[in-house]
Amino acid sequence: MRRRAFLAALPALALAGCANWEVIQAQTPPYEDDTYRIDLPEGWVRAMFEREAVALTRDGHHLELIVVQRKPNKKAFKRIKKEASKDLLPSELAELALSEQKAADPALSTLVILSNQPALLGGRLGFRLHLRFTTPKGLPMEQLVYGVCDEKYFYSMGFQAPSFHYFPAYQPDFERMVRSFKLLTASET
Amino acid sequence: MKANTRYALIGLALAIFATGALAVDPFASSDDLAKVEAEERRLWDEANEFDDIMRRSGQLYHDQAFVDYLQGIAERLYPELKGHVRIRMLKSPILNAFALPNGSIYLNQGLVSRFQNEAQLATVVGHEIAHFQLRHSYRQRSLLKNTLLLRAVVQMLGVPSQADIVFSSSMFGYSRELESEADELGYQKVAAAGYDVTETPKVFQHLIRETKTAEVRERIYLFSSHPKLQDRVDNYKKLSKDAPDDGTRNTEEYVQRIGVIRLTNIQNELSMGRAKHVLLALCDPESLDEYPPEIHYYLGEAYRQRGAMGDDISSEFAYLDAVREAPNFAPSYRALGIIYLKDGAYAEAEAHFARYLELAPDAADLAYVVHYLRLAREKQGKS
Repeated sequence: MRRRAFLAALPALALAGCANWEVIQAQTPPYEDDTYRIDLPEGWVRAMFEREAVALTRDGHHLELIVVQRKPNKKAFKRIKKEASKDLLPSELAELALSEQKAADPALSTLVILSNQPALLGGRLGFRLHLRFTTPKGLPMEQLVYGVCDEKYFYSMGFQAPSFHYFPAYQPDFERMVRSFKLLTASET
Repeated sequence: MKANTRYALIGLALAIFATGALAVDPFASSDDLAKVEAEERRLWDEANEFDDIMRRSGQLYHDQAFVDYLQGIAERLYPELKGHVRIRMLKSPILNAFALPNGSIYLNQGLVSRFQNEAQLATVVGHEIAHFQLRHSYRQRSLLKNTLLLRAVVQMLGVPSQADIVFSSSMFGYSRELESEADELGYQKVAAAGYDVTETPKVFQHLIRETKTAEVRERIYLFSSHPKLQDRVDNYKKLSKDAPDDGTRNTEEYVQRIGVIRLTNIQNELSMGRAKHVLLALCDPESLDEYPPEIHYYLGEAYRQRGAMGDDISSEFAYLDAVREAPNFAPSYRALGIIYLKDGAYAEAEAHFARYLELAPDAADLAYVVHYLRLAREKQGKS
C-alpha cells in the first residue's frame, strides 16, 4: 500500500540527501523566483528542490509539512491528464487538484472534504481546500491546500499534519505564509 | 527504469517462480485448517497483520447487511469452510480482488460494481476462495522464499514491506497453473451451488472490454491484466461448454442490493478523474435504469470531465435530463449554472445558482456558488 499521496515524494527525496536544508530565521529573506514571492515561516526548516518546489518542516515531514509548488499549466495535473487554465473557475481548479491527489493514491478512500471555498491568492481568485484522512495505521491527518493559476503556471501551497496537536498548532504559520504569497509581474505577461 | 525493462524483469522473476509448485493437500475440512504447519502459520500471521492494518485504515466497506450477503455467497459455495473464510470489501474503485493465506478474501468496490448478477459475483468469490482452499499462497510462497529477486521486484515497484503478503497473494496473480486450478475448483463450486455457469466467462469478458476501452494501466493487478483475463475467459468458456443455462442468476436481488454501492463507486471514480470508466459503466442506456434518477447528473459529470469533442453538449443534455428526472437534486442546477455562466447566459446562470442554493443551503461548496451567483447578477447590471 502506498503512503498518502500528498507531496510524499518530496520529503522522501529530501531525506535521501538531495536537497539543501536551511533553518528559517527572522532575517531570512522571502523565497522568490521569477514568478512569485512568499515569506517563509520562522523556525521552520526548508529544503528547496529543483522541481520548482519548496518544502518546509519543523519536527520532520511526518509531523508537519508545507510544500509550495509551481507547475506549468500544461503539466499541472499529470495523473488525470488535465491542464490548469486561467479560464477555469476556482471550483473547477479545486476539483482537478482533488482528483489529482486521489488518483495518486486510489486507497485514499478515507478522504473527507471539510471545506472547499474560493480564496484570493496573490490578487487572483483560487481555492482553499481543507481535507481530512486517516493513515493506514489509523492516524487522523489534516491538510490545507491552496491553489491558483495565472496565464502560465499553477501554484499550490499545501500544509499537512496530524489532526492532534500539530495541525492546529502550526496552521497559523501556514496561513500567514499563504497571505504573503505574491505573483510577480513577469508571470502575468 | 523504463516501464518495459521493469515489466521484463517482473516477467523474468515470475518465470523463475513458476517453474514448479510445492505439492500440498487442499483444505478439505476444519480439521485440516487446525493442522497447519509452522511455516504456513507464519504466513497466516502476516495475513492477520494485514487484516488489522486494513481494519484500522478506514478502507473497509462497513454496510453489514451487504458484507453478510457476500459472506452468505461464500458459505453457499464452500460450506465446508464456514467460519474460516471472511469476505471483506474495500472502498476502492480499482478492479481487483485477492485472497490471503488465512482465508481473508478482499473484493474491491469497483469490481463488485461491475457484476451484472449474483452468478457473476459468485464466480469471482469462488475463484478467490479456491486459492485459499488449494493453499496457493503457501505453495507460491514456498517458491519465492529466500529469493532476492522477489525483494528486488517488490522494491522496484515501491510496494512497502507490509504489502508483501498481498504481493504474494494477488498483485501479480499466481502462476498460470495455480490460476487454472482456481478456475476449475471455483467453477465446480459455482455449479454445485446452483448458479448459472454460462455467466462465468462473462465477468471477465466484460472486464477485458472495460480495461481495453478505458486504457487501464493498472496491469499489475490481478483482474486488470489482459492476458490473465483472457486466460480466465478461455478456461471458463471451456468449463461451461455445453452446460445448461438453467441455474440461478439472481439478477433482481443483486441489482437491488448493489444500487448504493454502484452509485458510490461512480462518485469515487469521478472524484479520481476516471471519467472513461464511468462512461463505460453507464454506456448502456438500459443500465441507467438500475440507478437512481440523479445518475444523469453523474453521466453529465463524466462527459464534462472527459472533455472530448461534443462532450460539452452531451454533458448539458445529461444535466437537463437530471433536472427533469430528479428535480430536487441540487448539483444538476449548479452544473447548469456554471455552463450558462461561462456561455454568458447570465440570467439562466442566476436562476440555476439560486435554485441550487434553495435546495442545498448547507452545501460544502456554498461559497463558490454564492460568488458565481453574485457574478451572474453583476454581469446583468444587478446589485
